Amino acid sequence: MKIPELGVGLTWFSGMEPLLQANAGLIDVLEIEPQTLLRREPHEKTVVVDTAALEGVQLQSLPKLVHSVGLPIGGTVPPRSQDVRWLSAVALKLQAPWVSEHLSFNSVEDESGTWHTGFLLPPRQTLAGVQAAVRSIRALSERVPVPLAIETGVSYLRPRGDELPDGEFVARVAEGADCGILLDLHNVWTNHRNGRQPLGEYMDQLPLERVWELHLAGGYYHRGFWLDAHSGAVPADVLELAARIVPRLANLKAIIFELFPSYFPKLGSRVFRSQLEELHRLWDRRGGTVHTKRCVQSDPPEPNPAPSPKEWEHTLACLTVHRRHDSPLTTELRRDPGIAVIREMVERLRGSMVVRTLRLSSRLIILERGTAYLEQLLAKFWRMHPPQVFALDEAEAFAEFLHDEKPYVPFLSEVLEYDRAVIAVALDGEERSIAFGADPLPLLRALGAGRRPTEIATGEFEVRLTPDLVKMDGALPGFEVIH
Amino acid sequence: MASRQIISKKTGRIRVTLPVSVAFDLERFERALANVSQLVERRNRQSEFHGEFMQACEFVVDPDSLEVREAAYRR
Repeated sequence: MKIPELGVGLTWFSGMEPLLQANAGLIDVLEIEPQTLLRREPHEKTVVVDTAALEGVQLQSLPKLVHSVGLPIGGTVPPRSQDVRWLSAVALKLQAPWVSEHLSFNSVEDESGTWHTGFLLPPRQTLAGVQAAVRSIRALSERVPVPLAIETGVSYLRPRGDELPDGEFVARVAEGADCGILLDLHNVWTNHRNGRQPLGEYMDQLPLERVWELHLAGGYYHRGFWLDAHSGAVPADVLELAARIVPRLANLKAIIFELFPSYFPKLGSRVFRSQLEELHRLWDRRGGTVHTKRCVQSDPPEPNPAPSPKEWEHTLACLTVHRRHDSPLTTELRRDPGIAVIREMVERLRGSMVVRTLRLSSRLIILERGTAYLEQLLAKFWRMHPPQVFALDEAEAFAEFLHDEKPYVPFLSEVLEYDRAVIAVALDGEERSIAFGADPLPLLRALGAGRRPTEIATGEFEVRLTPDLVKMDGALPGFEVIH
Repeated sequence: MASRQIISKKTGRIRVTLPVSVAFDLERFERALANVSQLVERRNRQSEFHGEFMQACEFVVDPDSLEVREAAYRR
């Protein structure tokens, strides 16, 4: 399989052009997370690729890679046909030489249907888990018109005695599915640091000739766990690990620095540039000769121990989203401190979806009743409603919850209607009017400026929202990405 | 927490027409609403001066300049 060498790159985000210009010559490739180009059809539950957003990316002259973050292929539920269709279309439009996706799962199927876990979760690492992942990968790779690489995931759970070691699981899956590997060194290092497989052992088990791409990122400590947060500079230990491993990667075609846009200001342009320079030094160390080695593989005493991959996924998903589920595995996993970390990450993401979509309503609740009260409402909401893929759906469900809950927050129903209307008009282009029993001018102005509204006149008021061109630039909440 | 003053004002129905691009950008939103407030106050003062009751009126925000114009009220 002939795939081109691309070099050092970054995860793409809308509005990053000045950053590209300031670092021209240091950025060879852009990695596009295609879910950020999606838009939900306002009146339907289907998603479409936003043509304007896609064209915006196409305008960039640099080569592009497609790194999917919402159709993981490590579990028993394969990606849906409609999702594979748009992913293929994006890969073709962007002329991506390969597509990558996570060796994780984020949805489960049960008697209530298919539901979303809100987070990429670690799959069951047994031989049956390998078979399930291989089936999912094939379901995707057979329909995507370019080669596929699987990303090595992060797991905050403790290692289990009945599972295959992390490196061996990835190796068996990659070989079974005959695909490439996107080696996320920060994920592997995070796993090691949080008590999973030692790095050396992991690397010895990996078929390094299958590694086409590296991901490097930063994180931070939280509640005794190192988090894969894409929040800053690559830790020195990870760079050192990369310097040792890159010369062994004969088929390495790209190194990508992952950093969430909100962390750019904190990192600063000088450090950012020096990180890119560091990545180029790594790139120059890449290996030249392919050494196909026999990977170290264990001989599991029990090839397919219970629970099955399906039971594992269902239990872990239920625990993650607070769904009632009782089994010996539930009891066992409840004792794992990693569950609390996973839940917190899911809830943090869901909270940010709600707060960024229902902006003025959230501010009103905080200003009137305090942050702790909003958190209390959200905590109750998490227990009653499963996570949604789209921020809009999450916010809409929370708005409905508030409507039923009727918390004592003056003017909340009107401000909530206003917030919902702003999103609805931006999405479907249809005008909407919101009636206010209090003067919306001081009320909305105060909330817009982050102040508690103090002097409000009663009367008969109406705000009419008319459609015009909304500059997207990440302002319109769409698909949320966490990985 | 500072107490809130609820004022009962005798005004006609007021409608503010706001382009959604302005509603989305909180900085422009704040500037636009400040412009509307200014115009409403001026309109109120004029009405009071003439001993009139402010009639129903509509204020329309321009999405580019954020300037506000008074429009004929449309139901």
